[in-house]
Amino acid sequence: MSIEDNGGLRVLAINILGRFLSNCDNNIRFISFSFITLMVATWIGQNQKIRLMVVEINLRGDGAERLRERGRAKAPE
Amino acid sequence: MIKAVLVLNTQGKPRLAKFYEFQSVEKQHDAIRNVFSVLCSRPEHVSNFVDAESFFGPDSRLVYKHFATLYFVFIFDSSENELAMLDLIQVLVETLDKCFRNVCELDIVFNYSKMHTILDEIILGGQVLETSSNEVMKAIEEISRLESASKAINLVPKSVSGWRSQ
Repeated sequence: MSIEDNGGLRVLAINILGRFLSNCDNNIRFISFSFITLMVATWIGQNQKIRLMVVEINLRGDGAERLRERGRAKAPE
Repeated sequence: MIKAVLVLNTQGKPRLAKFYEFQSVEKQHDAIRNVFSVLCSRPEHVSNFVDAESFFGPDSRLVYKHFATLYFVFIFDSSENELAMLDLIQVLVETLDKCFRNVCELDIVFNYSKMHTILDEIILGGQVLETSSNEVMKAIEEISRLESASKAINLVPKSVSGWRSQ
């Protein structure tokens, strides 16, 4: 998060976290959700893409719901 | 920084408890009970990460893994990564599997000193020292060899005194 403003690195980071989100392991999805929450708070400009990603994850059912219920990772509004 | 390492069985009895920051014995017992009450009511298909602020103070998180009859639990603060801690539990279990053939809960109960030696090779003062189980195995074998050598040295004075009495 402390790396200076660089559009290419941001897009690369979001793509990598998206790939982690599509993993079926709940641990890896939890970590990527946490980091995406941090990125949303830091980089507002990428919010649209992250929203689509999170909506897609929510459609898969219980895993993402439980992550959100725990309150550690909150999906953007 | 790692705050504590716990190994509990499925009835809540602690088999190994190592605390890297000072807590009184009553607090330690309360923490172990709280950790077990959280773990035993946790379903299988959720993530292995738990927020541990209610019993370890602020900025605490908990990672656990369930093997056979044991829970391996690491409690740490935000300077450590959850996935790295999960890998470290794997390193610890691999090392135990190499040290004891067909490792089970009884090995941990009867070889607690070796258990603490293995843990000290991996984590010391709350910091991770070694993440390769082969390196840890080399160190454990070296320590065992030194122990055997010290036993051999103890035999020399008896022969010397026997020689003097002749």
